[in-house]
Amino acid sequence: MNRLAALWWPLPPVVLVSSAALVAASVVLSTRWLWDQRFQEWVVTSFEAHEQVLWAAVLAAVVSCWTATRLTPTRMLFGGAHHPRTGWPVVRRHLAVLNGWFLLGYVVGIAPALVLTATRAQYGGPDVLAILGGPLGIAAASALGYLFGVVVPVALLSPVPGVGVYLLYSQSAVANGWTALLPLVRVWISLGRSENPAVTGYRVIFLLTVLAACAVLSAVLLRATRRTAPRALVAVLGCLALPGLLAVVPFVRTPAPLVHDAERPRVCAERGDTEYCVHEGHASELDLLGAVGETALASLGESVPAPRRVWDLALAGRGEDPGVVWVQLDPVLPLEPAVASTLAGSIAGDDACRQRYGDPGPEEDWPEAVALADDLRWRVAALFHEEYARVDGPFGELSDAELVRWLAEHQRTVASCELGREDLP
Amino acid sequence: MTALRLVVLARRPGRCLLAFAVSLLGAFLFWRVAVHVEPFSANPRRTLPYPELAGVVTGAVFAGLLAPGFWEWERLGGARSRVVAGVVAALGCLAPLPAFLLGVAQVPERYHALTLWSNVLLFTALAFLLAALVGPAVGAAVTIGSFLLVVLLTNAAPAAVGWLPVTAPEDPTSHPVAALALLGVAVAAHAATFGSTGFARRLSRGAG
Repeated sequence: MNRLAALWWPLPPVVLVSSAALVAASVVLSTRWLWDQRFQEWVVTSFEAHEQVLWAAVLAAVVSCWTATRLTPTRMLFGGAHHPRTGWPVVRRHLAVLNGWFLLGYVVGIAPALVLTATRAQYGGPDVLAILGGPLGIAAASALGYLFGVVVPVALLSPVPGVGVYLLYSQSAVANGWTALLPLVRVWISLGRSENPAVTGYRVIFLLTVLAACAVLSAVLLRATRRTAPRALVAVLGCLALPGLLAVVPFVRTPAPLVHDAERPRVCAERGDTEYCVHEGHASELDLLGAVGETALASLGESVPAPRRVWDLALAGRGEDPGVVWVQLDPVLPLEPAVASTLAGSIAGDDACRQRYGDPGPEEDWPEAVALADDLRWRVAALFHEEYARVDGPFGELSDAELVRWLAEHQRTVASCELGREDLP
Repeated sequence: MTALRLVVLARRPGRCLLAFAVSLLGAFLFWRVAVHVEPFSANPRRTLPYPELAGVVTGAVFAGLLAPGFWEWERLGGARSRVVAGVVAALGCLAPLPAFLLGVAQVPERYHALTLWSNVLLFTALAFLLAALVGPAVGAAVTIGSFLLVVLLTNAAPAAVGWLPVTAPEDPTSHPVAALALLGVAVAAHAATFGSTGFARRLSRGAG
C-alpha cells in the first residue's frame, strides 16, 4: 500500500470523496443562514454545529452500511470467520477511513460559520463539548449503519439504516430524554443562555459509547462461529448493555437542555431620558438601537412619557427589573420594525395588560381593554415605522398629531390597561 | 406451471412480504415523524414526513427485491414470462402505497399529506424503470438521490418545482397523470426486457 492509498484503502476513493462532498454540502446548506447575520453569537454557532448534522448522519449510515455489505460478508472469499482479514482490524480500518472522510466533509462544511463567528463574535467562545456532538453524531450514525450492514449483508437494504437514523435523530423534542443523547435538540437558543454542559458532556460520552459498542459488536459478529457462539453472545450483551444503560438515565431524570447564564455583562448608552443597554455580545447593535429608539420616541414629543430603560432581551433575567422595555435583537431581521413594535407595545400598556390578564389566550376571547391596547399598539407602531401600515380600527382615523394628543390625554388609562369604548376618539 | 412457480419464487416473495410488513409497522409507529427542510430560510420550508420518505425508500428496495432471479432463462420464456415481469412490476410499484396510506391517514387533514401519494408512486415507478434499465442498485441510488434533490429544490426554488410533476405537502393537488404514466412506462419496460437488460445485469453482477 503506498502512502497515498492509505487515505482510502480498501474503499473506492470515488465513494469517499463524493460522500465527503455531500456531507460538506448538507452542512453548508443547513448552516448557510449563519453567514449573513449582522452579528454572530458563539452559543448559536456552537448549537448549530451539532444541530445541523441530520442529513450528514443519514448519508454516513447509508454509505457505511453499503461498505459493510460489500466488504465483510462471510460468503465472500476473504470474509470467513477464520480468515485473517476479518474482525476487529477490518472494522477499525473501515470505520476509521469512512469517518475520516465524513469528518473532513463536516469540517469543510462548518468551517465558514466557525471562522465567521471567530472573527466577528463579540462575546464568549466556542462551546467545544456542544460542537463535538456534531461529528460524533455522524460517527455514531455511521457505526450504526455499519453494524446493520454486518447483520444484514444485503447491499440493496443500505438505505434502511438511513431511514432509521432519520427516525432516531428526529426523536428529540423540547426537554425529553433524547436531548441528552442525540445531536439534534430542537430548542431555540440565543445569547444569554447556554447549553447545559452536563447535557452536552453526557451526549458526547453516549455517542462515543454507541460508536465503540457498534464497532466492537460488528467485529465480534464477523468473527463468530458456531463454536464461539456462547462467548460471542456474552460480548453482544455487553456491547448492548452499556449504551442501553446510558440511554435510560436521561429518561428517568430529564435535564434541562439550556441554562441561563449567571453573568451577563452589559454595555449602556444614555440618549435623551432613556437608557439603552445591550448584552456585550450585541455591543455592535447599541448605536443602532439607540438611534432607532431615539427617532421613534422623538415622534411622540414631550407630552407622552417615554420609557426610561430600553434593554436587550438577552439581559432579561427571571421577573426582575420592572419598567424595562425588552427588545429582542435578532441577527437576521431588520432592527427598526422590531424596535418600533416593542416600543409601541410599551406605550400602549402591554405590561399592564399582561399583569392584569396574564396570557389572554386566542384573539377572539380577549377582554375589551386588551383588544383596544392591541389596536393602539399597531397604530403607534405605524407612527414609529413606515413598515406598519395604518389599519382600520378605532385609531385608524387619527392623524399622527391627533394620536399624540390623544395619548397625552389618556396616558393614565392606557398605562393601567383600563381602556374602554368611552375613551375612544 | 412449475416453471412459472419457480420464476415467481426466484423473485423472493418471502422477503418482499417481510419488507411489506416492516413498512406497514414503520408507518404505524412513526407516522408522526417529519423533518423540516429549510436551508433557504427565505422561502417556505418543505416538510418531509416519514411516510413519504419511507414510501420512496420502500419502493427502491422492492425494485431490488423483485428483480428477476432467472433472467437468463426467463427471457427465453416468451409471452408468459413477459406477463410475469409486467405484473410483478405493477404490483411492486403499488406495494409502498398501503404503508404510506396507513401513515398519512392519521395525519390531520389540514396538512394535505394524502396528496403526496403521487410522489411515492412516481418515484417508485422511477425506481422500477431504472432497475430494469440500469440495475436495482444504481436505480435505488438515483431514485432516492433525485427524490431528496426534489425535496431540497422545493425549498430552494419553489417556482422551478412548479414545472415538475411532484407535489409538496400543503399542496392540495397531486399529479396522478404523471405518476400513472411513469408506472405504465415502468411496467412496459419490465415486460419488454423481462425485468432487466443485459447491461443492467452485467452492471450489478455480484451486488445484493
